Amino acid sequence: MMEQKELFTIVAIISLVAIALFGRYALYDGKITHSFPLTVNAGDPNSRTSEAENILESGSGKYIPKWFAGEADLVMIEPVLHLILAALTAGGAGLNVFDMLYFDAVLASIGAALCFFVLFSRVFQNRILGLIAAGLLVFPLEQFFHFQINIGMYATFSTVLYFPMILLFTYEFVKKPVWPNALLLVFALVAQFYMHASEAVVSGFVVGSYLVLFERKNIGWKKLIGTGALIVLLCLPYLPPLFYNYLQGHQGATFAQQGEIIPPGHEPQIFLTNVLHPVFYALALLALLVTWKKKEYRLLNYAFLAYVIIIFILAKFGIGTYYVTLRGRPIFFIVAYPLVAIGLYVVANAVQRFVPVRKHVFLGCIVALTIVGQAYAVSNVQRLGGSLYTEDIYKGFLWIRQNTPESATSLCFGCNQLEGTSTHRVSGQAAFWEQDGAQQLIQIVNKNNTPLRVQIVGYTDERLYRAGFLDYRKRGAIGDHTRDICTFDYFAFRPVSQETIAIFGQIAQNLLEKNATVVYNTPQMMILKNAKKGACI
Amino acid sequence: MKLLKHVCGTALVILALLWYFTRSAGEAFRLTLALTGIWLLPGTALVHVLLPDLHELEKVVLGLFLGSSIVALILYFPSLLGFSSIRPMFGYALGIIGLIVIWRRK
Repeated sequence: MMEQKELFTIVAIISLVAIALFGRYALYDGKITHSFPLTVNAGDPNSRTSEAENILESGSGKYIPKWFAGEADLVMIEPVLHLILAALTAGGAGLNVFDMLYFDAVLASIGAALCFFVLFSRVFQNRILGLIAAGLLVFPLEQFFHFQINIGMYATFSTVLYFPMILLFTYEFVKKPVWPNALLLVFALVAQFYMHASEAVVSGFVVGSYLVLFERKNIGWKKLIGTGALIVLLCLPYLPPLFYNYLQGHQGATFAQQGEIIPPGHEPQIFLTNVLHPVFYALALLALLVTWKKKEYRLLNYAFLAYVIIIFILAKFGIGTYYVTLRGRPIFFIVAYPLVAIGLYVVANAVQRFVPVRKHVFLGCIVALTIVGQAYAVSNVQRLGGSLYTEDIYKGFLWIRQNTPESATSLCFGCNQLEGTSTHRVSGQAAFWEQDGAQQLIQIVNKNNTPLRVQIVGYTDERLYRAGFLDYRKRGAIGDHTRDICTFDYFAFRPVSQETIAIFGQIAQNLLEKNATVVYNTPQMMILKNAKKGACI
Repeated sequence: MKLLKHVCGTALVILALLWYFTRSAGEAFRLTLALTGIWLLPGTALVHVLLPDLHELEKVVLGLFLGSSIVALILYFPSLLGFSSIRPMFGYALGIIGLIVIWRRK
């Protein structure tokens, strides 16, 4: 017969998971599966969907799909673990890759909550405290975190899963410095690294410095160096591009050079109050005071203080603002929330003395209130954007993918960033948003036959890629370049405003008057085929 | 055997939740199969081997989420050498190995 305590724990965990799923999917019919991607229609989700589909089809994470600018290691762009995971889950279940990218990220946030529950149960022997921490973490109040999943930053979002694992395995390693425990720590850090490197570098620094500063005698240099060497060895395929891309100040680190100034339209600047809720700061500080002299809490406290230093002080002085501090932010509140849970637990215990209710009943109510509080937060926080990608648009891209030769090239008017990659064809997008873009469009409307400047979709930049074993090269910046629109095989039109409906309509009309034909037409997407017989407009 | 019961119980809970959050019983079943076979079984087996004194509930929770990334990493590294190793069937194969480990190891 199951113990009452265990039954309560299981019911609480299932409630947490159900609330988290409901919170994420309530705005999307309450369902996990859809016929088009859920996130905003932008470069990150679109290119990741495209790459994950390629991994599922090819069984390899090594090469960029051929519809990008050319073949090169996928690993040069970013670690691919979230793409591989989505491909595996989608392939294993026979579902859409884009649904699984979102679903895996949702599970990552649930996983972070539940792994903190394990941490508190295992290390601090306090399941109630673990459930409070899990209740807080399953759907965090911090808006930045929710913003990440809505814009398709699945990798950044998913790194939070590994922090409680890293803490737990560090505690295990410290408690019993044997190789199996070291291996678990290595697994968690390497997995986080291949999910999104910048968070893992900060995590590795925090945990590594803790072990060296406080536990070197207990563990011994031999095991510490061995563990570090194993991590480096497993991370080796991505380390050279990482160091080159992020430390040399090339494309990948563009924003880092700008110090505190984050370009408008990107994530907001970092302030103490927009990283963690002020009430939560107070509770975390209370926990810090209460647990300061307790050795078993030292790792939690150290991680919190180290992140404060890394996030805010580096941001203040403009060092690695974008990758080290902005990207480290989701981990910061994941570090802070366990302390918030401890603070809440301390307050609840103090209040309970004045309430004529038994302690475990009162604390059970606190757990329930935490879960209900998150349910309330669910209804407010998730509403940050929503889907701008419609079924109509996605089906248009699928039409190109399924009905055109692989060698075909397509130009999309009104597409967003790398959206064209969804076609799985070499794609261009009309650079009409640039300063001289409007003038160019007017020239086309007026049949001046001016070549339109298009931005060829692909990772064509100054970053390093691996051309062979230990052979790293720069691709060289291609960027925007002029290309006559008549060289494209297909034209897709995706109106994004009333103004573009009129301009795109006129361009389409001009193309049709020459030798183009309509091959696909829905309210939000029209595709023309270019016969490629002389002038097309 | 106790751990196997917890694994089966977790799979049933996942199925029940997914039944509500997917569009058909078939979708729910297939997704549960993938999560159990590719995530839960290999991960729980690994945790069971490396941290044998954890409580069963803790093993399955940790195993589910650790398993997802470990399986993805195990299949990713051979692909760097040119193998088409990132296939769901290899993920399921690791799941079967995990099942045997959970079943046989005390």
